[in-house]
Amino acid sequence: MTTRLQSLIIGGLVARVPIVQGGMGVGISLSGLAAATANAGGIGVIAAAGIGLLEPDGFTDFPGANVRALRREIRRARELTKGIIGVNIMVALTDFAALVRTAIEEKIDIIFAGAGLPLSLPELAKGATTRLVPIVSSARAAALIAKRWLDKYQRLPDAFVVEGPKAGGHLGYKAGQLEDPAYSLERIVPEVIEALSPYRNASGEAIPVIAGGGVYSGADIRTFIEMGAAGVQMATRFVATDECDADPAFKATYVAAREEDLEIISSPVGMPGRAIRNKFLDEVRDGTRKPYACPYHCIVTCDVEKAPYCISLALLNAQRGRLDKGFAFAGANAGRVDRIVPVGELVESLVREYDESGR
Amino acid sequence: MDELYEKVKKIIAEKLEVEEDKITPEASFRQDLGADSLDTYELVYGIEEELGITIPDEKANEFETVKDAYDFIKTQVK
Repeated sequence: MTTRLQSLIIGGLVARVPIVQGGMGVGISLSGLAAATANAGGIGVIAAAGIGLLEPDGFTDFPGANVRALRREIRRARELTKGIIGVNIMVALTDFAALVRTAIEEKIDIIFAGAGLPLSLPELAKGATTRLVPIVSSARAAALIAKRWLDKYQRLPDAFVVEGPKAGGHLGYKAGQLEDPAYSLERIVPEVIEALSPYRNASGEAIPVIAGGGVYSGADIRTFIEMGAAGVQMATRFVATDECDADPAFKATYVAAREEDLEIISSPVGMPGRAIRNKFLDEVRDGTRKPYACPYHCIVTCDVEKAPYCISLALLNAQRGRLDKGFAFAGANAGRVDRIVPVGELVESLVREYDESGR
Repeated sequence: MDELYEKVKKIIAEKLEVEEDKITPEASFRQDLGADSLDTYELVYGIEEELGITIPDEKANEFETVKDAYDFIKTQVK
């Protein structure tokens, strides 16, 4: 096939390049990376999780700082681009509703919501033009959300992101499912498309499905587009860019990591997660880390009493380059990253690879 | 237990794909009946449809046992 990469249309918004830059918290994808991605023709995404921890009063006024920082990052991104900007707000955040309302007040283009089922998101977004995109890891979850939104709110999601087990960070699977081919992204994407086939949006079109988790090259993008996906979500590749909002030391861990350095951790929030192994994680596993005081119960499912460390704080430290006091979440292909490039160059190379892979 | 309980029990058996005799008032949805969070919502929506009642989403996650669910449903059914 010699087809060119088509644009991705979400609720009438047209992204020339069908790549969504996956939201990465804490503070890895903020206005800098999101705006650069949007300027390159893709969809840039600001991660809301723990965003307020970057504020001077992040620990004394956690909810207030979150709202303020999210508002500022959205405004900053708008100053830097006329492209499409989204936010990723995890359903499991204790201040999910407040962050959604803030993003809507700022007229954000798209809200991506995963890490839980965003069943009541339409209620919070009532009357707004913001496009709503749930992130799911199974056809069952996609069907449940579509049916519920239609029954209760007479609307459908504007798209779905399907996140497979090769993604970075927290994963919506049980540890035993991660290597099981039945749960591979290649299997789940067609299942989700099939499960959503009875639903049509206002223009009579199918709900776009965006595939994420382990998508690395232009050829990978082609694989999922040919399966019927409308676009892809990629995050790991965007860490290794000049514009990524993390400290250079954080990006350097990606460049240095080899395939065998990626490991599955059991996060305090009760989910498995994929990260780059380091001394901090070794100490957690060996039980030599001392208990800590929880500054703010930020994630609903976090077992604050038993957690050996604070996940938000560890990720914040990593974002700031303090890898001795934290660690980097990363996708399964992070070992392949070998240099830092500008976002524009990354996106151009992906489009070129896509075109070449079809010849 | 009454007719409503029998109805609820039947819906649980169908939605969670478990034997009816496993469903006792004390049975825990997660521990004994193997329900994950998706199952819980599918079950709650099934009950809403069949009984014509509304169960708030936040309630769905608070039901620990079959009796918890039944007690709440009873207050909603006329």
